[in-house]
Amino acid sequence: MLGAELQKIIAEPALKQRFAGIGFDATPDDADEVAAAMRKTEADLSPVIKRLNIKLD
Amino acid sequence: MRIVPVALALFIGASSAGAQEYPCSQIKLVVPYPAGGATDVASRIVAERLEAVFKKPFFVENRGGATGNIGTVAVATAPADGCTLLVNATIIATFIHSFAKLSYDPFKDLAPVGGVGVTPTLIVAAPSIPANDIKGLVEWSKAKSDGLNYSTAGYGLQQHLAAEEIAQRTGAKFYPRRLPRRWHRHDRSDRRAT
Repeated sequence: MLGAELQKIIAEPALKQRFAGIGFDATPDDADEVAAAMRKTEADLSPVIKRLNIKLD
Repeated sequence: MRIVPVALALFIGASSAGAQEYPCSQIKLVVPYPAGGATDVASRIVAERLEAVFKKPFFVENRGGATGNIGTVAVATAPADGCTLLVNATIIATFIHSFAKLSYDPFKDLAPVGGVGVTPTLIVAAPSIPANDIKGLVEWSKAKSDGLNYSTAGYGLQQHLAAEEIAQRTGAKFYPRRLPRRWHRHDRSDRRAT
């Protein structure tokens, strides 16, 4: 319910326009697409983190 | 050159993810960064629209600190009632690699609700630097015997990793500089946040 409403809101032209005003591109992705984006981010950037040996407290 | 885009998204504690009802009298959107930044402003725009749709108060609470982990942990460990949401970037997926100790698992303790937006990462330099684009900056850094220092919004965050990826792919002599906390812009907005 929340996810479906959020998708509709993010896709609204008026919201897209407000986002553009602060330098954002609206992305009305569903939960599965966000989960896939997280997996891709991890897959793409974890080698960089390992190469740089980043270990934060 | 394309660097991995990092998107802003809405999350909920994983234990609340299956809830079909919305029993809360009000819903909190935790923004784990200081007030006034891009994530905060975008979240307030979304909260305003959610409030209109659900006819319930959606309010933003800024809980910055520890690279966003203070606010993120607060949502991951919140009661399983669906009344506490998180707005954060997909970069948290990498935190299991970059943090020596992380008290939550971004894949198990948080569930995505949906996407919000993406914002560009910029490189800015003093006008006196003789480069007008990334290519020029890369070449200039190579020509300098001591390379170029840079600072970013956060060590281990996408801005830092993107700069390192550019350096890796191009041979640029970019060196991250970790500034004392008192020099960060976030310190000043921390004091303004209410």
